[in-house]
Amino acid sequence: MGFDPYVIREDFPILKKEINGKSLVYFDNAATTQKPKQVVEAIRDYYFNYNSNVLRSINTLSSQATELYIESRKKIARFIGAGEEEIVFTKNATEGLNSLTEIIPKLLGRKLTVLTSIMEHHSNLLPWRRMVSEKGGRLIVVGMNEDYTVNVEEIEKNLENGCDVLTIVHVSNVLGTMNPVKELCKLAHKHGSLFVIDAAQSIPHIPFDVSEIEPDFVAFSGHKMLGPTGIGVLYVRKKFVEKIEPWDLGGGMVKTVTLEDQVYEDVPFRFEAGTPNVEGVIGLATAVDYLSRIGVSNIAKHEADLVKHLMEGFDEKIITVHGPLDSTKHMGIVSFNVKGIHPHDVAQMLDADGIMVRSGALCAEPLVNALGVNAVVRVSFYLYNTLEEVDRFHESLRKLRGFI
Amino acid sequence: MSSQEDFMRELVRRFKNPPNYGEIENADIVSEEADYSCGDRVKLYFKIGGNRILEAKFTSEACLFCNASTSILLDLIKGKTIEEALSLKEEELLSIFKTDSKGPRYRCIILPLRALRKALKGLKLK
Repeated sequence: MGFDPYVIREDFPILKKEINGKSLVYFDNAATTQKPKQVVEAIRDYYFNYNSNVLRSINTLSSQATELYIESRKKIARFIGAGEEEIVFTKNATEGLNSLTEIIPKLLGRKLTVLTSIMEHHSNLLPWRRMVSEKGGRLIVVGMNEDYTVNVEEIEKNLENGCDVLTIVHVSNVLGTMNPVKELCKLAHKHGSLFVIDAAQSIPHIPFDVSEIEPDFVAFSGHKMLGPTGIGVLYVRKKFVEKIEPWDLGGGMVKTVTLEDQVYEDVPFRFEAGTPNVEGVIGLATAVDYLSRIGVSNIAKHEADLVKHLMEGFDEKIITVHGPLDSTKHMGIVSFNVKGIHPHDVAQMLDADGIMVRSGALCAEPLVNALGVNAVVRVSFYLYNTLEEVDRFHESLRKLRGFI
Repeated sequence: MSSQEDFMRELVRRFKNPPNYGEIENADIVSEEADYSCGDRVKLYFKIGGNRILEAKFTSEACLFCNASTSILLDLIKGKTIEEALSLKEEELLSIFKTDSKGPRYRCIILPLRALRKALKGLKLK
């Protein structure tokens, strides 16, 4: 069966909702995505038929819940080409990135020199800056090329001078441009640096395989890929899984405890202290099943069609697109400004027509400021969006001419 | 045309070049406040005489709602005492925009009030 967004839409009840008397157009998928019936149903089924604490009790219900939990972990790991012991559940990409500022200093046992970029979301900038101010070390922020990707030459120059960590966003949440992570990973490893990817905006939208890229750590969020909120993943490369120290301690992550000592659980369970987010893990595994069935490369192709249609419809006299003018360089995300109208006011006018977009600094203020503005309007697509919706967006945008 | 659109048009008509916009040279107090989640930024300038606000102006990098709200707020407090200005409630501003604290533009509308309180509270302590 071919890819059909209209068939897919049937799985998303919210898309039938009306806002301000118009049918909902949801173009804020980089913020969070909608959830298909299958995901919500899987969570309901868990609570109504299997709810029990996992990995603990010797009872049938707990065994069934544990089996679901373990199976879910396998599916999620497989989705990114990882081994099941290589993924640690977090609450989101932000938590994963924050954890790394605890994990990596202990792993390497020294003050770190960390290399990141101006393209980062605040979650891949602020934790590292705090780490450096509290523990010492250095944070270097590299710039962007004219094609709106990170400056690889500048990165290489810094790597040559000696860096411990290179941490880079894969797809920018503002520009939609994709950084060459495979090349960056090779460079980082060649110069003895660890390589971290913020994949929050890439894994939901483009095929992603850790066995191909070979990064050391990857963080992403479940809610940006049809899963529930409160569940995310930190991928830890196999060679480091046994070497890193648990960062949270408590129940569920130890084998034995005496008043003097403890023996930690096997990996990855030693990294997940406390009762885990079982519904989140099951929900995310169901989302991953859904995405696999549709095919992530089909979704990427569909989003490319939507971006092309969007950008072709822009009136360049009043619209400034941030990022490349070549639509194929935008991974489902396009940010822009309308001449003479503040982004919030553009968003409000679109909202009046039932069209949900994001406006503001998009949690990437240094990048937005580097674009020469303090706020933008962002359109971000997903598998259930249609060309017709893009037409409606343009129709609504045309009304703004009266405001300029 | 939706009522929301009408309201926006009315705002554009009255506040595209908002009254009270500009700097006050030799202002007694300057207060800046920004909302980093949305990117709005306002700067308020006051001339104070005795306990009264004699003159108030603003500059901004902000949306229509924030500019309109700031412009209106300054009209409301000019000539008032510091205490009177500080007693101004969020609801008074929000009702002008036919919204409340749950509305999507809440943060934009309230930003100048935050700047005003920041400026005048310090003054009150002196």
